Amino acid sequence: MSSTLRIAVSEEKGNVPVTILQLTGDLDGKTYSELETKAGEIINAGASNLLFDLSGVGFMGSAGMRALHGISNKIKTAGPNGSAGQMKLLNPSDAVSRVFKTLGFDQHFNIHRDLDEALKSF
Amino acid sequence: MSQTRHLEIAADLDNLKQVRDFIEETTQSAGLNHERTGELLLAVDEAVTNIIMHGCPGGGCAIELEFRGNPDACTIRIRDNATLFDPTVMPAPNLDIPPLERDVPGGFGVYLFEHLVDQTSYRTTPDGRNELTLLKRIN
Repeated sequence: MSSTLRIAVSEEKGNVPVTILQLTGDLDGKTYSELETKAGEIINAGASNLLFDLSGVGFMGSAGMRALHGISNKIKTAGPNGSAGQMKLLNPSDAVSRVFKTLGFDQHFNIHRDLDEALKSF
Repeated sequence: MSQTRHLEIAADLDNLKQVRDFIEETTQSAGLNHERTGELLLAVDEAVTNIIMHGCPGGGCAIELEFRGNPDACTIRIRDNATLFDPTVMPAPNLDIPPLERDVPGGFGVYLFEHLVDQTSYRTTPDGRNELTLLKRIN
């Protein structure tokens, strides 16, 4: 059985509309492009405030970082009139935190531990 | 007393999960704790992913993993017949550049596996294959 990644998309209203992508499964060399593709579709459909719920990620490799980088590049011009959108992370699992900490990148992402707090921060 | 287990796979991204399952099963039986298992798992996945994506992008290669567990350490030996490449001599990425400002995404795989295990070594086998060995201490 190969790696699987499920991406559940929902919308919440904080100060602004926020699109939540809830990931469940593995984010590796096999599945990372699925995340990039899905996020790209959402951004092309007009969303510019994205929150990634990473609590259900059982495994993440550096390909996951590649996906997040690709998405962040798209977000830079995803807002109205090409302005910057926002991208934040919610509850990274141990597997996700391990990659961030090993690379020392945990300080470069906007990470939240509480959904309400995350939504209000947009 | 040491234990040895083997896994052979085709160099295909579909087989990454099988590799990780193999590592989890073998390290659990060797007594490696949860955190160290996670680190070794990440290291092996990075190494195997690099072989598949960069060493054999067109497919048709084979990867052999050998696990050895003794009271002091777990050793994973990865042999493959992909393009000969020594990942231990790759330059480290510049981690001072924030990840979201790098021009090219990625490039962290080699850095990751070298910093997640206690020893890394590479050689070319007599039959012309790559052989990468990763060692993770039990304590």
